Formats: sequence, structure tokens, C-alpha cells
Amino acid sequence: MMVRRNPFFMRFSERLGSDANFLKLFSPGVLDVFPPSTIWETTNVIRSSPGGGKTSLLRLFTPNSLLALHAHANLPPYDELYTRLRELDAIQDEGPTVLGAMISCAHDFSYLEDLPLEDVQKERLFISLLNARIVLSILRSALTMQRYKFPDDVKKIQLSCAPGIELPKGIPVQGTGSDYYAWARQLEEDICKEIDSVLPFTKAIPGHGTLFSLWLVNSESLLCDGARIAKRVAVMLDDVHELAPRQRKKLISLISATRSPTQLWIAERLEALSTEDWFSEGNKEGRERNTIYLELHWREHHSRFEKFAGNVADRRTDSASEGQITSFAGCLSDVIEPTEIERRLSGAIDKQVSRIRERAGSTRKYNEWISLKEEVKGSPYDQLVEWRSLEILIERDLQKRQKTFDFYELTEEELQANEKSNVRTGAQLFMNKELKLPYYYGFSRLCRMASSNIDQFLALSGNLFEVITSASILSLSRAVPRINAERQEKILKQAIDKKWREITQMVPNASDVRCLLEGIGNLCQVETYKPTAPYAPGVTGIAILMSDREKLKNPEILERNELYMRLANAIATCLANNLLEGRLNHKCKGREWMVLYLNRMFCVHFDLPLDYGGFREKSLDDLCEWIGKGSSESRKQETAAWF
Amino acid sequence: MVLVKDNRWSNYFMSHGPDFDSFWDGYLGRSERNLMFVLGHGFDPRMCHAISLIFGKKGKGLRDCIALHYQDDSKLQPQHHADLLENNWANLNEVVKKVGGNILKRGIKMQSKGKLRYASISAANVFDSLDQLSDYTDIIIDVSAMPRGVYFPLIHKLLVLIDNAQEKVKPNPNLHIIVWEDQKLDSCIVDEGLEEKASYLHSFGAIELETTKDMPIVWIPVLGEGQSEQLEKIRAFINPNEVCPLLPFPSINPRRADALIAEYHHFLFFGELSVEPRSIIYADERNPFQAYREIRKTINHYDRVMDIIGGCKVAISPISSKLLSIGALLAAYESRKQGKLVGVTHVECHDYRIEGDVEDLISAARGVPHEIWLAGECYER
Repeated sequence: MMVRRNPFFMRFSERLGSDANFLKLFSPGVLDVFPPSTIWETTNVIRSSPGGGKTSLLRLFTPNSLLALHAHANLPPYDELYTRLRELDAIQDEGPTVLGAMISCAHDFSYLEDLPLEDVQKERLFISLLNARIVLSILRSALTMQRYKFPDDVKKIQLSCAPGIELPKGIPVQGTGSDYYAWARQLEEDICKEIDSVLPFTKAIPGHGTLFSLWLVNSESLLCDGARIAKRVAVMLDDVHELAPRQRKKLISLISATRSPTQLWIAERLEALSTEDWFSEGNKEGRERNTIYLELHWREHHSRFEKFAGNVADRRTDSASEGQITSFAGCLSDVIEPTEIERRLSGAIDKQVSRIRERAGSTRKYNEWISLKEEVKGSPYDQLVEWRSLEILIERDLQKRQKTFDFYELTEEELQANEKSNVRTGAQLFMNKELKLPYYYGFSRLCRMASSNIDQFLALSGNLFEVITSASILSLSRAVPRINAERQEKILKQAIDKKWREITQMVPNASDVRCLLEGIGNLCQVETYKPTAPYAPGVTGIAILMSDREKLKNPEILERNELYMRLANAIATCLANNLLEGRLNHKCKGREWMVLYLNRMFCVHFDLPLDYGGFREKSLDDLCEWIGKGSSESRKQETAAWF
Repeated sequence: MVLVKDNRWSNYFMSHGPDFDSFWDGYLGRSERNLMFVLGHGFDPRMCHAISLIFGKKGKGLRDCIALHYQDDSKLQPQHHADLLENNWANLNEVVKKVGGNILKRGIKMQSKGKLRYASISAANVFDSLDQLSDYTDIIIDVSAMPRGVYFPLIHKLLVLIDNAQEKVKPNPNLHIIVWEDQKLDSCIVDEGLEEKASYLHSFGAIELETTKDMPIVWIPVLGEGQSEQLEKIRAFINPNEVCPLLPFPSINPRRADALIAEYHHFLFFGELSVEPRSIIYADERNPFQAYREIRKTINHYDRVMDIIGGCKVAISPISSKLLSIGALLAAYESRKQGKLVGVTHVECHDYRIEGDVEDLISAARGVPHEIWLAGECYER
């Protein structure tokens, strides 16, 4: 029997065990992604990076989950989730109103492409397998909803096809579940056996041209013991990115061609270099589909992600500690205790002031600015941030091409105009690095490190939770343990460095991926830590022109240019594995760019800030140089020289 | 204790070390044998060891070779150890030409257009029928320089062809598997660029159907060193309900099993899996037939126990040495033939490289040859 110790490491929907446990740990905040008015009217397309939470979302709408939720409706912590689903009309007091059937596209479908058959035959077999699995999945879900046993009780189900739909030979227009179960089961077995066989294809297996199963399993004609099972039926296809490209394209065209009475949900991974809009004929967004980009949703509403992540973390912490610790964020100190850094701050203010005076030289220009800073009160740390800010501004001024006269003193108003919040953030980063003070601590920054990906958040939090649990066990008092800033940073850096080292093992095109990421990371370090902090708080990504992106998608260009091919593969691998975050069509300097941000946890690896915003434009040739020559040591040395 | 009756390889033939040499001396010296030697053309320094030894024996008959060339669609994969590849090819040519034999090159396509791992399918198609081998009395598959994704379906196909062959005038060929076991070298050959997800090997899949979705799954990982990333990916892929790790014991290094437990202790015992110590199974690291027997016993045990709830699926992950992996292959093959839902999962990787001093690894005289006779005369009498 499997016993779970650290609930933060239970990161996959499938591994959360019982439905009650899954629901207990499911945070309702994620349901904000669904527009309530159209959730049941259109095809829902859910896209995210790996670990974004797609499968968990689909699992929520399966009969087991909805029935379990209905059984616990008024009990905390299920009550909040019940209320949200009630608002979405997925469940009511009488029971679930939607019959969801989840089918993974990860198994077997793509292998059809390797069969020694004509393309049209492979396509028809693909549709056949999909039809068979849709019927089987609906039968299972229907029996589960009615609390019958699958497949023993299939005879209790009645199905009939919507009028006007032509069914292949051998499939009855109406019948019991037994008839359709026998047909679908045999078809699935035959196709899968042929895919997996070492011997040549022997059996004549019928191929289908349409997804007629969606008309067969519609909510009006799907009955159990003569009664309608649910108000609506939703077929949910998970891992659609695992289909072969041609199969995905065929699926799109089948869905676009006609509007079935059964709702279809699609969950797939976002791959910016290969994913295009699903529907090419006109703009069907809103009318016929809802496309939900999970990370984008969270990035645009970061405070919601923080709240959502907090809720997820609290539920797991509460579950693991049996109610003793109810707030995960509460266990993470979000300030640097003076005692932690007293030694490092001692003398630092004087050193900083000396450095500024030395840099200012004999000019009177900065006298007023320096006087203003001398009057600043506050903790030594706050004072240091002020002085470091000033140093950045003086450096910027010194490097201006258009100089002012030495006798001119810069005023307080000019200081206030220049000293924006991003300069302070940059100053804090510089100072923390110089004095080796922690920067990556606190719940808020932990959420930023997650790159809006719940799986990543849980992975990082899991490491912290291990320490919280240990502290809790070792503690003589019953006080809630609290990890200080320095320790948090140490734990997180260790975990992230380990992840960084594992890149070569994790991914295809590993050496090119590593070179690309190192090139980006080193560039960002160089740009961020320039004495003038021109891109305060820092640079955390690069950008290529959208027109260059088109080149990387063009097979003819890639065929002719080996480095472009390697670059395209490396970028695709990084995006698919959440090592880079891509944003398309970003407008800047009158042009459109594809921005590639480092995954926020790699910002920790390179001592970069966690904010988005700063990026540097690069040409394809620049990026190819990184891949061709490897990571540049000279850039690292250049950065080190400043400290 | 569950006794497994009617195991095909209850009685088996294998030899290793000095017995390997004397076996082939006698076997080839007694009568005329037409040999077809199949090997993978890779950078592994052991590639030509077995063929040199066997083709160097006195005896009459054909001495031909099929060399499997691994062809990647992408020409961009950095090719490690190109010099070793060239040397191996030169050595092979020398060995075969010396005995007047022929070398036939067969390409193994590693990827298909849709970025799929095609190697397993390509390997299964190396032989279409036994007619291609009608001139030969013995087929020898040397898996020393072959990745798992190639030798599993290759051996599977040959077993199927042999088992399906009708009674003919001419007897079926003997099927031998050769493994040149060198643990030190094996530990230095590391995977590079793992596929993102685990998968079932071609011809050992098709157990994850809609109709079997609710069945519990038993996972039998055959443990080897340095596979933690692979283990995690396989675990995420199959989401097992029960885990029965197989440890190599006894072993030349008596602490090997302990070292594996230490390496994976967190994954097995303190993480999500919480494997019970009594679920661990043991097999001699040098005896694939013992691994085969223990795995078969485990499969039959769970099959019997879970029958009451509709049966179970079993996923075997041979991520250990080749000898134990052969044992896993035999167990999977026989169980599937009996209609059990048994699959073989692994994680494909795009490349391999040797870590450490390559010259030192090549030059040291090391490694033990193993001969495993799977089908043919010794089983028919």
C-alpha cells in the first residue's frame, strides 16, 4: 500500500489517490479560467506547459470526482469547491449535471503513423480508435454515474444515434450498452494488437471517416434503465499534443466541420513554435471555442495565482500536519531578520558612502543628493538600499553623453524624478549580491519562482515543506515552525541547481539546450548587473523577431541551415519542457517579437530578479553562435569583475 | 510459495566465462554449422569481442554477419566517439573477411517523421520470415552494443517466427543470445537526452486500453545504477498500484544490491511508493533465467491474487544490465503469449556517451562473455 509523506510531491492528478483526497487538495481558484456563460456552449481548449494543471481540471468533471464532491457537499474543505461548481452548473443538489468522460491521447494513437499502410488508411484507423474509445469511455462514465459496475452492467445502458447520421456497417442505430461495448471493445483490441504486433498486418479492420460516436453518446439519447443520465455530456481529450501532427490536424478538421450535440474538451501542451490556432476559418473564438492558456491567465492575474497557490499549499500542509499547521506561507519568513545580517551590514554603509564619494570625485554635482541620503533614517538595510540606489543614479549620470557643468548641483526634484521603484529593486538586487544577503525568500517570491506553473510551485515548495516538517518534529514547543530567509534561499538554490544540472539528462538535444540557456542566462546577468542598471530591475529574457520565428518554422530554410535547425529544436525543447516561457507578438520599437523568458527558477540560478519585462533583442545568428560555440566564459568573467 | 509450472525455460542452457569458450569449441568443432551473427554497429568497445572469438574457432560452415547501423533522421545529433565507431567497423571487416564471410548492413531507423522513436519498429522489421535465414543453422544475436529498444523487439520477432514456424523438412535455426558483460564499462556508458516521457516498447505494449483502464498495475523495475531520472519518468507514466523491484543478488560485488537500495532508498521507501521490503525480488545478476523465473513467479502471483477483482496489468522496466534485461524479456514474452497483460516500459534516449577515460576502458582486458541458448536443438530433444 502506498503511504504519502510529503503531499507537495504528489504532483500529478493521477497519483492523488482517492477522489476525496484529490478534491480535498484541489483549489477552486483555478475554475476562474472558465467563462461561466459559455463553458457548456463551446469546445473548451485548455493549453499549458507541463504541470500546468490541465489533467486535474479535466479529472474534476469526471463522475467519480463529482459524485465524491456531491457526497461531501457541505463539509469543509469541499464546500467551497462545491459552491463554485454549482455556479458553473456542473453539479446541483440532486447530483452532477454533466457526464464527463476523459480519454488520454497518449496511448497508441501516434503509433498508428508507423504502420506500413497508406496515409488514408492510417487516418481512418485513427478515427476508428477514437470512436471506439469515446464509446467505451462514455459507457464507463455512465455506469459510474449510476453507481453500476463497468463492464458487467453495460446492458442497463441504452443508446441511440441522433437522426441524420450515417453509421458504418455493423453498428446499430440504437441498442443496449452491451451491443456497443462488444463492438467498441473488439475494435480497440484489434487496432492495438495490430499496432503492437511484430508480424505484418493481417486482420481487415474497418476504418471510419467521421466521429459518429459523438452523435451516438449525446445526452438526450444516453439512457440508463430508461432514464436520462445527465443534462449534458462532455468528452474530454487529454494530452492531445501526443497525437501525431497529421492526426491533430484531422481532429481539428473533424471538429470544425460540424457541430456535434456532445461537447468536446481538448487539453494539450502549449508549444509556441508548432501550435497554430485550432480553427482556421474565420474567428470562431467565443462562438465555438474557449481557448484557455493557463499560465497566461495566471501571469495576467498574478495575485490570483498567488492566492491559488497559497490555497493549494495550505490544503496540503493542513492535510499532512493533521491540522497543526494551516498556513504554508506562515512558515516562510518574508523579512530578513536583523540578527541574520548584522555582521554583513557592519561597516557596509561606510564602505558604500566612500565608494560613492570616490566615484563622484571632486565634482559638486551630487552634493545635494548625497546630503539627502545622509538624512535618511531607517534600518541599516533600508539605508543601504537608498545609498545603492544613489550609486546607480550617479553612475547613469556619469555615463551620459551630454554632460552638465561641474558646478551645477543636481536637485532633490531631479533625484525623485529619477529614483523610480525599479531602480530601488535593482539596487536591492545588487546589494544583496554584493553582501551575500538572501533575496529569494518569502511566499510571494516563491510564487514568482514558479513561473505561473502549479507543478513547479509544488516541486519547489516540497523542498521547503521537508524542512518545515523536520522542524515541527524536532520542536519542543508547539509553535509553528518558521524558516528564515537565508535558509529558504539555500534550500531553493540547492533544488534549482540540481534541476539545472539534470537538464542534460532530462531533455532531447540536451547540449544545445544547455548552451542556449547558458547563453541567455549569462547575457541576462551581464545586462542586469551593469553599474548603470539600464534595465532595472533586470533582464530575464531575450526576443527574436516574429519574422525570424517564421524562418525557424520553415522546413526548407531549416533543411539548408544546420544551425537554424538546431536552434529551432533547442527552442522547441525548451518551450515544451517549460525551461523557457514564450510570448508571441510582443510589440516593441515598432516591431513584433517573440519573447523568450527564462523560467523563473533559472533566474535564481543566474542571480536574476524574478520580474518580467526586461529582455534583449537578439538575431538568429547571435543565438546560433551560442549553440555553435557553447556558453561564453568571457561573459561570466566580465560580470565577476564588477563585484 | 507460488510454483510456476510449464515455464518454457524451466530447463535452460547457458554458459559463461571459460565455459563459453569451451562450449563454442565443441559446438562448432563437432559438426558443420552455418552461422549468422547479428550485432549492432556502435561505439561500444565490446562490439567485436564475441564475433572474433566465435568466428576464430575451428569448424566448417558459413560465417556471415548482419551489422545493424543506427540511422538518425536528424544529422544534427552530436555523434560521440566517432573514432571508436570507425575502429569497430574496421575490426569487424577484418574478422569476417578472415573467415571468408559476408557482412550485410541493415539500417535501423531511429526516428520517423513525426518525431517518434522508430528504432523498435525498425528492429522488429530486420527479419520478415525464417526463409531469410533458411541457409543458417544458428542465429547469434550479440546484444553487447545494442540498445534495449533494438534488441528487445529483434529477439521478440525471432522467437515469434520460430514459434510460429510449421513443421518443415528443415529444422528451425538455433537462437543464441550473446552478452559480453562488463559492469565497469556499463556503468561508464550514460544515457544522454532522455525522452520526456516513458513509453512501452514496441511489441511489448498494448495493455493500456479503455477496457483495462480500471485494472491495477503492478510495476517490476529491474534496478540498475544511475537510473533515477528514468525511474521517475516511468513511475509517472504508469502510476503503479504495487511495486516489486528486482535486485541483482547474488552479485560479483556482494554489496551491489545494498548500493542500489542506498541509491534509490528515497524513491522506493520514503517517497510516494513506500515499497515494502518483502516485495523486493532477487535474481542472480549473471543468470537471466533466474530473473525470468522470479519475474514469472511474481506475475503469476499477482494474476492469481487480483483475479477476484478482474485481473491486473504488469509493467516490467528492465533498466539494469543486459543479462537481467534478457530475463525480463523472456518473462514478458512468455506471459504475453499466455494472454496476460504484461508490458515492458522504458525511457528512450537520443544518445549515449562513455564517461571517464575511454582509452583505459578499452585497453583493460575485462568482461565476461555469456551465451544464452533460447531456441533450437537442445530444447527439442
